[in-house]
Amino acid sequence: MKTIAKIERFVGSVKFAVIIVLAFAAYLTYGTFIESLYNTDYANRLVYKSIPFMLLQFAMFLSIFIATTLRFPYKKRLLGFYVLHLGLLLLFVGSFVTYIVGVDGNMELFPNTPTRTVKLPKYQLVIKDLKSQKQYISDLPYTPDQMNLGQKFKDLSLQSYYPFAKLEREWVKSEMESTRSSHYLLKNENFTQDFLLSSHPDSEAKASINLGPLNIHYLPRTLANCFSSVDNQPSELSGYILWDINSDQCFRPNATNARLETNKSSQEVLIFTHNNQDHVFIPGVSPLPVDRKTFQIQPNSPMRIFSKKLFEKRPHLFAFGDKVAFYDKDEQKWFAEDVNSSEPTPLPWMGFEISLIKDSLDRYPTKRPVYSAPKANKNRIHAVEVIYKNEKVWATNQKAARVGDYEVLIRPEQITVPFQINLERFHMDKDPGTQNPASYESYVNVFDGTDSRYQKVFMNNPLDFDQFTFYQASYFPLESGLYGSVFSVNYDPGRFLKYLGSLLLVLGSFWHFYIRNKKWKWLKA
Amino acid sequence: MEMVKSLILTICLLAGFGAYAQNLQMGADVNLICGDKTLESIPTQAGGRIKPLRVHAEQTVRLMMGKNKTGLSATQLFCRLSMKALMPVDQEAMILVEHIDTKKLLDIPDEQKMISLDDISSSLSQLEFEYNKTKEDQSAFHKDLSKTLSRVTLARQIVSGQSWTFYDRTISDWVGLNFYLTPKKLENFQKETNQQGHNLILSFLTQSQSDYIQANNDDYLLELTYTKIKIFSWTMVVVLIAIVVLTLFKSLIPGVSLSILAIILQLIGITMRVMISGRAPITNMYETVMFSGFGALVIGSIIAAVKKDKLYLFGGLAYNLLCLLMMTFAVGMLDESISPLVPVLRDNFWLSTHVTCIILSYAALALSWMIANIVLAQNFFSRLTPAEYKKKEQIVYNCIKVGSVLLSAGIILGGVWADYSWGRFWGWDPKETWSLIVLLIYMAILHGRFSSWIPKERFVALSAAAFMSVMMAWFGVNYILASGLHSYGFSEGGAIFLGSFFTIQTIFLLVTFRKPLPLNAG
Repeated sequence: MKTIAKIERFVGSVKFAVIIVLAFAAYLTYGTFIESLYNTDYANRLVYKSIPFMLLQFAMFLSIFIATTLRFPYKKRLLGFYVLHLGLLLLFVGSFVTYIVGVDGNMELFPNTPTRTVKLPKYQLVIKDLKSQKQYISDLPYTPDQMNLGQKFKDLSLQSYYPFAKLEREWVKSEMESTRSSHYLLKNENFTQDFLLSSHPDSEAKASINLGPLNIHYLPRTLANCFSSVDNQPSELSGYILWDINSDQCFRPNATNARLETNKSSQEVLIFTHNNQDHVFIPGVSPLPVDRKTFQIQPNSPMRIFSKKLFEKRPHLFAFGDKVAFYDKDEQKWFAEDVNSSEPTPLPWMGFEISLIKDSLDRYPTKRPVYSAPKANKNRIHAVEVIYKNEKVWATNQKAARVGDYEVLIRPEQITVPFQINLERFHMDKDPGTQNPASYESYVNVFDGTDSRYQKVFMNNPLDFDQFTFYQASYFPLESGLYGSVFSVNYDPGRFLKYLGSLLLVLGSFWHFYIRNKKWKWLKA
Repeated sequence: MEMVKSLILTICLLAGFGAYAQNLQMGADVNLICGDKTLESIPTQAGGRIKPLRVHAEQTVRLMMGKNKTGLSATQLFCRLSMKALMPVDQEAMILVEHIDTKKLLDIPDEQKMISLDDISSSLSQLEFEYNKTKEDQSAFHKDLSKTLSRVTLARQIVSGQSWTFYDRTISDWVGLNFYLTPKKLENFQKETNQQGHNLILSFLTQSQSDYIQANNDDYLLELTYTKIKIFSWTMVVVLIAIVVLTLFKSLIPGVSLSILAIILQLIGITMRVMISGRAPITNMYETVMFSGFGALVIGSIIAAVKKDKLYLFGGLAYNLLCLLMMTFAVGMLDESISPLVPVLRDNFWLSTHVTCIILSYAALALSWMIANIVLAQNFFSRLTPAEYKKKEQIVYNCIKVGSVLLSAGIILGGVWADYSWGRFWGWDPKETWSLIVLLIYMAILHGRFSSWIPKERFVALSAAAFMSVMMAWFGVNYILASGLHSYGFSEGGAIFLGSFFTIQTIFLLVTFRKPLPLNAG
């Protein structure tokens, strides 16, 4: 009993209070620096919502509680002290109630789309069994660091979990043959941009892109040689290139291996003889050959025709890895030029030059999540590594993973409110002459099955419904030109306690410092 | 891409107006147009507000080039640069470049502070490329690139005439100089008024002022008066004299009257600011410094009157002087311009009371800090008797009591505001967390003093040290934490200011620490 009394006296002592208060201040300082170095979510996970901090808060509660009980029985001169410290205790209790049963989330509203889901700031892993159409949900651990989940679910194995990840480009070894990927840099005086092209289907890069008015196409390397204009006097035949997609060979039609005819519908017909076989094309209709008699397209033929004329009007750049081809309008000629990393190759548009950054025949660029402590509110990707048999895929909150008969994805925890909210109109005013919003407001209709209410929700004017409060928090533009609205949603049963505690705290401290023992001396004097 | 578009647009505009240039000259001398003082009062719409040209010109020129060392007034310079859109003017737009790596990229020597718009334009694609490349790491270099690029955009807006907007009565809207002053409109105006040359252009420009006032009112002109009279600089002189007088003369009357004059002057300045902005004067760093200096002087004066001790008044004046010095000279750190508030801060009773409460608490704590340092200095130079020391320690304690009660109330009101505005009483936001840290530190000191764990001899020094936490909550959160700790080098003015403050205060405490205070004080 003696030791308990001793401990009690120590915990209730002013010295212990000072130690706890200073520890608390030090811990918070650490938290603010962590938040500045990383981001809010990271600081919450590492500091403010961590177990050591919870324990510290509990120790502070205990210190105040015991310090107060030790000063009983009631003494009149301590009235301010009692009220002040009771206020503090109520604040702690109120906050704890909020933490345990409160809801603090977001609701995204699309125009005229009744909504009842609230997203919470916690992430969950969702596994959908596509066969049985069943869905399995598990909470992801609330941690700032990467960890190994080491969980098994049927024939899936869940491995690394990255609460903070960024997508990093990785040149992965290709299992397919004859694919190629290249990384180029395009620049002129006012503009510099790099771009990737790949013929691999799993690559992040595509085989064809547009950069402003410029169209860029990625073609097999063997075609490059057929692009340049060799003959000084171009004939009608030199406007075409032929190639065999099986052997990746290209051919230039000329008088010895090809001839041009005109059919009954006065379309140009090109007949190309290769390996003693005639291939008939109607270039204006299809790149595929047609049957000589029926003029039916032959989809199984490996031969293709390419009409250069179609690419002479607008800027088109053909890339083949270490070669590029283009049509120069001024010279009225096609060029196939080498491109490398040391000397940029000039292009015939607005002083642009192109150079090669990387070119690979056996690797292709793809993006893979990599753990990275967040910087300045960026990279909010959560990723889980899923292994199915020998396949390894990443499920993120941006992209679901399909593996076997499963779909795996990460999404915020959601709750459903027992009523629906419909955004009927969203209105925004801007500061005159600027694009900065001066105010924004949502006109919503709330319906709980029996009653319906129409209300305007705007800054500092929330909607109260069924113990939930909806605050106008943000908005987002939609492609249709309309706006969607974001409400922050709050359910806080600890609110009353916190307000009461605050009131007592302020009154108590005022009493403690100014009214006690003063007897209004200076007013009399 | 945006930048490329705006560049192309600018070139098109310039090319288009080249054709008018000859028409517009009509013998008009740009020196005579831009040298005219009447331009200063023309209303212009910028950043979502209507302000007199002089105010807009001063702000824009400062944003673009930092210090204006051209020898011209900001209005003259702004006018000359804008006129480039319409006629050839021998004036170059200069752009401030701060970071050493940006200078390297632009190939200019380290000691060169500015680069002309023409020179920087040829390196723009490189700047943008670097900007995109450094996006991930959020370094100081990246921030400087961002600033430099926005200065280029601003300079282009000015020389294309778009930054100088005029009220056009024919459409009841605001248009840029390049659309307001067209040869055709000028020709019609000439027929009406029969004026020539620069007089013609000047009357055409000032016409928009009378049109605006007729259509609306002339309330905006108050800001011109406010800018011109520089009331806070004058107050600074008054406060300085008050301190000297209070130290030199035995009689309190001259010092007290000067203090009252300082309070009245600041009250006028603050009132004008409230009338111009239409809101409580506590919404940016400049205003919080202004309000806390004023608050400390008022609190100091009141306690001085009640307690009959001039040390409170002295502390209030000294702190007020510091604030006024910062407002006048630390222009890079404290931006005095008035701009519209973000929606959540508008029309909000809780916000106003919460911030007022916090700023007043900082004022009271600043008073305790000022007096604590004065006491430490006094004791260092001429040893105080235990009785004197005890009395002065009590003064510091009283100020801290006022400060902590106001701070607790302010933090709680902040919670009420947050709850009222977005349903979250507390969110561990760095600003609120730091104000809580300040409260905790002062609580530790008060509890320590109460339990005699902290001897009264050391209480004064600890109070002076504790104020560093206030500076951190007040400035550090904005200038160090919010700008991200990744910007090593702390090139920004705010971080240098804070760093020097912490260093000087620490050295001062170490120096005075060597001389123990009277032991039998308690």
